Amino acid sequence: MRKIVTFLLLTIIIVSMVLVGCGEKEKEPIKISDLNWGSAHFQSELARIIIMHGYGYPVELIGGKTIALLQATRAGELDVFLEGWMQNQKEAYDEGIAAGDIIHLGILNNDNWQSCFVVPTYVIEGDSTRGIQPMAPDLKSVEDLKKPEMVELFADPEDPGKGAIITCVPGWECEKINMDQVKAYGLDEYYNLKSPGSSEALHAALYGAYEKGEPHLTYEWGPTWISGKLDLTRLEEPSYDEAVWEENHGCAYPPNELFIVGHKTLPDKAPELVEMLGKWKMDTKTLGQALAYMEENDAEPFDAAIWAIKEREDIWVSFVPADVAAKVKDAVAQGIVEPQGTAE
Amino acid sequence: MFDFPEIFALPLGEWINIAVDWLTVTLSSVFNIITIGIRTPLVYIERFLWWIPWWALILILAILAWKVARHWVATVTVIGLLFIGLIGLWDHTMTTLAIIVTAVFVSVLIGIPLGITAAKSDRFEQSIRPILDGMQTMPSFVYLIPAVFFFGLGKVPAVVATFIYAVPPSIRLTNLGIRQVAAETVEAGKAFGCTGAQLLFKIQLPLARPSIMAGVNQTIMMALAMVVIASMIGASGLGLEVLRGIERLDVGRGFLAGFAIVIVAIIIDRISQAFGRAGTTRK
Repeated sequence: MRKIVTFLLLTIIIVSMVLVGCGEKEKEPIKISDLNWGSAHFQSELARIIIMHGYGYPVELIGGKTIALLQATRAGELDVFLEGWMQNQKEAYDEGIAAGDIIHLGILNNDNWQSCFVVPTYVIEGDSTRGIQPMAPDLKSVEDLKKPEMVELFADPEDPGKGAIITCVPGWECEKINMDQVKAYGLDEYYNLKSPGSSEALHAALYGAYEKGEPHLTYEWGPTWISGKLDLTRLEEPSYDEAVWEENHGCAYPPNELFIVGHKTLPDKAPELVEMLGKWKMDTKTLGQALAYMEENDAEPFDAAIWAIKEREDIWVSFVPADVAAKVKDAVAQGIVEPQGTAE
Repeated sequence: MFDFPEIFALPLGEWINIAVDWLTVTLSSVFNIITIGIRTPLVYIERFLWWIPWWALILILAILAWKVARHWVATVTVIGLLFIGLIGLWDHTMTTLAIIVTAVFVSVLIGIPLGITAAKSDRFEQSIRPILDGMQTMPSFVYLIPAVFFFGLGKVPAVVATFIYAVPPSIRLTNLGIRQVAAETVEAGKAFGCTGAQLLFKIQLPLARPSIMAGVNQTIMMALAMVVIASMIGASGLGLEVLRGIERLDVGRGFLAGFAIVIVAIIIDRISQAFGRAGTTRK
């Protein structure tokens, strides 16, 4: 008796698994990167919904770290790689393009910023609502950081006598550039560059210090939810100059180009997507708004994408032909759009 | 029909966030004291390890290995450490070693007394067990980020996170070791009029030593397993080299640092195990 029950249960499980596995299979699925930071999550989710419901392709988002996913795109395990930062990925990008494994689809944004010399604004101006006095009212430029009182303010607890600057994520190109900048500005004898270990920890450290109202000097970039949410000030640096940059990185970062690439087979597989991603543009303000929407409403990237489709047509409608846009809007209005994982 | 009623989905997570934010601000002075308490020995240990010439450290460890462990351990110690130095990872190794030593020191300092308490009180043992299970199985990323809120970046939160992961075996095996001391032996001690402290220090702890040392050995091994994860919150050393390597897909660089961690692990493991055994053979 017990054996029969077990057998029946197993049969039911197997049959239902097979049934679940059978979905519609008209078009080959498009695999899109889902990089591990906010603005990329938002855009990947938006692209997923548009491609699924506007163009009718099954879509799978694959999460992971930058380099790993860029390599996966070269290998053809991903079709689209969305929001690469050109300076940080230049080598891998050039290699992939030169080898012909990936094709350039577009530049989605070039008005972003990054800087190794970011402080919470209350450090300079104070914050009367929280009872924080200005700690360094004269702090304006990187040159001011050389003053002994500044070094003391941003003291490195593990190496008293020197200040601490939280630098970029280990292994990213900006880690090296930050070191060059600190040297070029003559700050290396006053400050140690401390590695945050990961982008999550970089943000957590800034957030924790901000909550406590402590002085904090860090690398940061925009668009990020944290630079949208917290009141931060970038210290003045010598403005970007190509010749100086080439020589020793002794000036501010130039705006980065955020690129989209695809695997070489994408034009054959889905030519209309190549066209759409070529038109894909997101300025820093827009991305900041989407990130702030997520942060304020405790929303998932999926919710932000739905918000953008419903209420911010100006963001995305220009990427797609009118009939596709209508299909996407229809699907969202009917409520048949679901987050990945529950749809399959 | 298939959807679960998710009545706690949002509020519970939100409450945890609020609690963490609240703790960050309210207990900041407590966290500062803990930070200083951890950082002070850490900085001195690290400075000592950086100050001591490489050949002197290799010599000391080799002699130690020769005395307590089998002779091949001494050979492995010398060759392994020379290899680490030759591939240019000596300073990183010293930093990692400082973090491990501090974390193990704190773990033993807190773990063994807790283990003794657990051995003396069944109720305490029962209440602490699920906590220890949680500490060992909770994915460390979950508490790494609050650790950064509380303790900032760098080696101090790394020591705290390593402690959380590595202290349970010290507690468990101290508890077990004392409980395994034969009841007759304890009876005999009592019959001869031992006080509670005498019973503990002259009978139970010495007899439980192999078990306690096995616990300490496990603590060390688990601390080493946390090296790379602790680097994700800014602990410098070998872990950061591994992260740099993998972030750039520089597999070679990652592996070299990984090898260095393995070498350090083998050396410390063999020497600390031998310490446990040395206790039993003499008895």
